[in-house]
Amino acid sequence: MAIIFIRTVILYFAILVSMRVMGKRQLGELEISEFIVAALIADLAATPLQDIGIPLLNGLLPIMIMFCLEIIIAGLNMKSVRLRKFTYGKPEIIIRNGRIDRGSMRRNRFTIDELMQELRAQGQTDASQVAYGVLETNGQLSLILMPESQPATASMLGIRPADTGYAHIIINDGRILDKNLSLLGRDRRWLDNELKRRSIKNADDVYILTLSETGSVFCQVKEA
Amino acid sequence: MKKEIIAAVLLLLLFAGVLVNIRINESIVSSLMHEVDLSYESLKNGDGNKAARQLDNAIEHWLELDGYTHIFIRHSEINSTTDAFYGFRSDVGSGDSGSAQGSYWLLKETLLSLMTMEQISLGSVF
Repeated sequence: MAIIFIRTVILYFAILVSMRVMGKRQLGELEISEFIVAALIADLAATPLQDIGIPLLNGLLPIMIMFCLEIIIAGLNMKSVRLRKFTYGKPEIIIRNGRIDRGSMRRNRFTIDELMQELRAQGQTDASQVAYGVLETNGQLSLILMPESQPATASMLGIRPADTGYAHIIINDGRILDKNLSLLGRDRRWLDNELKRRSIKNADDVYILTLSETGSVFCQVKEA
Repeated sequence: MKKEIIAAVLLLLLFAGVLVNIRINESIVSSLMHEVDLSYESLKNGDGNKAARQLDNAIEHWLELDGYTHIFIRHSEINSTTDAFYGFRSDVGSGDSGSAQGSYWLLKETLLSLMTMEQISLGSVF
């Protein structure tokens, strides 16, 4: 049991470091090669964990090798468009001017049901409103709507909305983030005044308090 | 690009380490096989005591390699090799080279498999 414990700790950190260095992508946004590495690493790590008769090195060595290969291939992909096409594939247009490209759908093994599901997920029910539907290399469908179906922007309406600015979290579940306070040029005294103004005795009672760059404050207290 | 170069160097170092391990493995197995052969020769020449002493040395040598074997060799392989050693030792103890022949070849084959499974060949890769 002690061996399993130690092995688990070692493999956990080995995978953590590998995945961290590979990048911050979410699992659903992994490219094919990254997905392969992620899936294989998990499987390789599990083998010496399940069977203590297998040397730990049998799990660690392949992880290290794949980690190196992934970094090398990702680096080469930055340099070569051909290699990038080979490893990641290329985006494919499956809807063009409101018409579904059957050939493209077939090549990508994309069914009508899946297409409709993707459209609904993006708030669309009618393919004829889509100017371009592009199947990205990570499997996500990007939609560019017909000009008449695109939501009106402020510039189209000829209005100039006020900039709300980026809101920084100042209190997160009772914890004051001094770094964000000083980033916005405020201090604890300002925060105390803000809390007093809202009849809040202590920062511990605050669930979230945000301050935008334009100075607007949003505050929600913890509910009993 | 620095990251890629480091990864490539690390990959090469790992591969070099793998090759070094093959050499170490070959050297260990060859040495053990030589000791086992000497023991069997002595047994065939009718010197059972010498054969037993030589084989005991070989077993001690094998057991001393514990630090290496447990890191690089599957534990099931280590156990079957140890079993094969003691199987041959038991037959050597009887002093009859004829009855020890089977366990001698079993031990030789077991040791050989430790070497061949590490060597790079189509058979071991696929």
